[in-house]
Amino acid sequence: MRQKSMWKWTLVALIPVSFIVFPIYYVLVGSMMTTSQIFHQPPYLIPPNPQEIVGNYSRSFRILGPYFLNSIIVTLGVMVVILLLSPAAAFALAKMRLKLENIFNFIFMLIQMLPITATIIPLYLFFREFRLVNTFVGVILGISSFAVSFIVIMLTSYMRSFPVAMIESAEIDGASLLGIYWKIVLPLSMPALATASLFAFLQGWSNFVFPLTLLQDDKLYPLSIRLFTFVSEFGVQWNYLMAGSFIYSIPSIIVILIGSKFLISGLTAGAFKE
Amino acid sequence: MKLTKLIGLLLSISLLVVSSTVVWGQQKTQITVQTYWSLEPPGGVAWSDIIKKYESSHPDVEIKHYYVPFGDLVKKLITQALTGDFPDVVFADNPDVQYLARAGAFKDITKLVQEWGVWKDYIPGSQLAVTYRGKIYALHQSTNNLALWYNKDYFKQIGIASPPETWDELINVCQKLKASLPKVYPIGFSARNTEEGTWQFEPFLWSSNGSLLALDKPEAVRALDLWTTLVKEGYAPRDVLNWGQGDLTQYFKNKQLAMMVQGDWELSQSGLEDFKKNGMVFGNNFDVAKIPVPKKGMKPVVPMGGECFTLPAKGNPQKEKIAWDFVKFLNDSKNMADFCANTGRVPTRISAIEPLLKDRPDLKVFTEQAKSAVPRPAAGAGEKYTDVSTITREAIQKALSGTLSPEQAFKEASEKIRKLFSTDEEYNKALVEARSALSKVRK
Amino acid sequence: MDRFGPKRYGFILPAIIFTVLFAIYPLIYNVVFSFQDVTAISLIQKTSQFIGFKNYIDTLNDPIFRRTVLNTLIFTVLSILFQFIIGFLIALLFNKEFPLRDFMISLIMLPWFIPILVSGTVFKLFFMDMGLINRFLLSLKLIPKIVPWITDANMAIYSLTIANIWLGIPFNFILLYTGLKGVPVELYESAEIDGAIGLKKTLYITVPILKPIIITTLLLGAIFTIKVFDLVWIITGGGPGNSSHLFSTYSYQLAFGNYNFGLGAAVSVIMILIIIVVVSILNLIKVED
Repeated sequence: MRQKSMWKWTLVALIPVSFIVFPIYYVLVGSMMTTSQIFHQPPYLIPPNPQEIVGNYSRSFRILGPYFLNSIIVTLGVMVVILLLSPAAAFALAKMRLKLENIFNFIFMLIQMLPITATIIPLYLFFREFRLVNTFVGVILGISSFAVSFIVIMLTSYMRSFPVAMIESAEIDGASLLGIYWKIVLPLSMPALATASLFAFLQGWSNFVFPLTLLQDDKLYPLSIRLFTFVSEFGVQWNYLMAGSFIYSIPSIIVILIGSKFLISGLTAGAFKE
Repeated sequence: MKLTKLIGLLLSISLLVVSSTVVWGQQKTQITVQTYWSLEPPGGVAWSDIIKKYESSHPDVEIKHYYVPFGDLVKKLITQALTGDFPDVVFADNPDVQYLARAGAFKDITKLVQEWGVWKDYIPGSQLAVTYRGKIYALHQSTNNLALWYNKDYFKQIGIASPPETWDELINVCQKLKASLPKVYPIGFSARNTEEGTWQFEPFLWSSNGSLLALDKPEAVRALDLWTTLVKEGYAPRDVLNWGQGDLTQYFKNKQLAMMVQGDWELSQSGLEDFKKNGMVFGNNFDVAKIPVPKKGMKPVVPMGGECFTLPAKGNPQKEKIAWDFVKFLNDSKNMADFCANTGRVPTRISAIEPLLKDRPDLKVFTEQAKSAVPRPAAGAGEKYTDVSTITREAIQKALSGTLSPEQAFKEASEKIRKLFSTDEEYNKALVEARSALSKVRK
Repeated sequence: MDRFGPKRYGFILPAIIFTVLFAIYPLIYNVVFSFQDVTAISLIQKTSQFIGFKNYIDTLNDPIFRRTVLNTLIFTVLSILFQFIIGFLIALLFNKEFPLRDFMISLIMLPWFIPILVSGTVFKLFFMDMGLINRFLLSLKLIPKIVPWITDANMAIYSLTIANIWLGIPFNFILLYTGLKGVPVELYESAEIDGAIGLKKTLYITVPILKPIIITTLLLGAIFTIKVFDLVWIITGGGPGNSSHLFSTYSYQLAFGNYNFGLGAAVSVIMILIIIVVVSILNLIKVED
């Protein structure tokens, strides 16, 4: 009985979801057509020869497959760096009443405003000095340099709403700073951390400016660049590119499905009691 | 805790992969070459074949190819020029050669080319494209240009036997096509806000005797007027403002365009196959013709496409010899002809034209036009070409979108272009050079 | 917390050092560039000349730049407004548990996962004069004739805004959804006991609690939006006739289209200054709490 009325909400949710998903639906349909069918006007909303899907996906996978590992390495590296640095900094900014708080805030903000294209050449020269060109480490550090500050800004606002009472009672119990951070703040910030991890994942997965600038050997290219193989100087193989887009997006979809569980677990972990 | 173990694992994986990218001892000499060409079949067959051919006849050499996406190649070359970290063989689209030579990214190979002794075999446009201040900086490996493609079946339907040769004929044909085939656009071209847009406009501009450096003159304005009329009358969709050349082919294949301005690269072996899949056989269902000219008897003048190979300014001296050998190999007459036969491109060496036409007689229109093709910087202020091109296509877009009339648009553009030069002398010099480049190839 | 003393700085220093190291250097580079006449040629040959404020003066006098300022304003304000509202409404809706909710969350996030190259092109196909949107609206007789979504110099920026709103919904949604998840359930329960029911009452409780997160979402959304590049570049390339440029695309066109790094840097610096001013204003509003 309760179930039936909840389905009503599912239907309501379908309205905005359909609008949002529609262009993606077209990409899906496109991955099942030939390139000229994709360009057909009026657009085909149902693929005329769905068997094209086999050729498109198999070829796309053959081209993208070997480069999955590169993306995974870069992305995991970025996530590690961000999760090591950002929550700690956010905690400090949100709760510790540091003297230089405003300057720190400003620095983190400032970095976000830099248009990436303005930084390509100086960064290449900078990384070259440290012999980080053409390495995964260089790419990871490059991507993280921007992402860390973004996540700090994001997490700081979530951590501000963290109840001081819990921290104070822990201090009274004689807990160390690291202990408070590790045992209290982090577990109870799970929803925010889950979102932060998602952002970190996406930054690592989708960034292509840094890999493109810093990597010389195209065998090291992550998927974000490898997709461009289908974009030649004279024309784009849209059917393979669209199939490739889905192959490329699958890990992101898996991550968000896992992540949404964590988003809820924060609630059940007893969350923010005042 | 679990987290620290995870971090440790990740770090060690990363280290492993990083170290495995280091090359463990080389027996062969490795020559690196960097292009935006793909090695993947079917489109990349010619390129990977020619590399394999070199490697099999030179077993002590390994050619390592680095792929860079098209839009990022010059950026990459600039960063490499700043640090000297060039690959052994460099590659660029021909209009970028002048600029990169001036920037000091390319090596002066005049002596090497003279030693080789085949310079005179190159068509005049190619020679012009790779020469800067009297010195040779690259070799033009293959070229391409634009022609008028038309759907023969549609033409048959409206009873037209041959493609239009003049602008008046073109408008006439468009009129007839629109009247009989309402669901089809008579013509399509690319008027996008990238170099593609200027490139597609240049055949019409130059065939009309117009110059990029004198856009306010009537010869130039009438070219823009032609395009504007085509859009205004609905012969070409306004969407041309956002279309790239690749888009045109798709609409042509879908038979939604009766004619298009398109290049020969679409006639590669794999391209022809794809057309056949859509029921279009080159020669039967569709064909190509020379770009229409303003009046009968005038010669079409098209911009020169195609890419160049050369040696970097700061190369590895030990590898330079082999690198140069590879560049010569790519430019060898027979190799060039084979490459073009597969890719639909056209040779830059006169000796390779006949062999190509034997294999691909269907490329005759393009080989003809290539003989009088003009490298864009030569007719557009040399290193300032990218600025000139940007200003020109802004004007084209303003006219086509109805913001300004063709006269106003080009008047505005020509003023902006004049401001690119700090003195009148400099401007006049550039203008003279541009006009002489055009007349040189007209002969 | 103060009793922990200087050890507290240890938490923030790694992030600060990291950020300053990798991100300040390019910033300085750009500022320096903006005062020089730098082209690719002069950069490589090290002949860049110092020209003071000339780049800035040229930029401010450039009619395309002035149009770009207007475009960026329209684009950013409208994008943030609608992305936020739509994202917030969806987040509120999804705060309930209903069947297939988690699956739908991953669907909503899809615009973010699909490469912009692909989704941008789909929008381009939809917005074409002969595209899906026009056909759809014409068949429903909602418009008399085709709308030149991306072929008219005045309309282009609005069409780009629509595409960008679509792109930004997942971002706003996930931030606000996370925020909602952090609101204690007890708060709602006690409100119900007090007789508060319905959406309006929930809003009056929820919004004040979410205020810091809302402001941060708007702030981050603004920063993200101003930096949008790919979407515009793919759909209109800044056209027609340079009428739909944003700071990011115009700066890119100057730097890598015309190889004038000096001018490109000047545009970037002006953009940063404007953002600093806007952010400072927003921060002042925040502090007033």
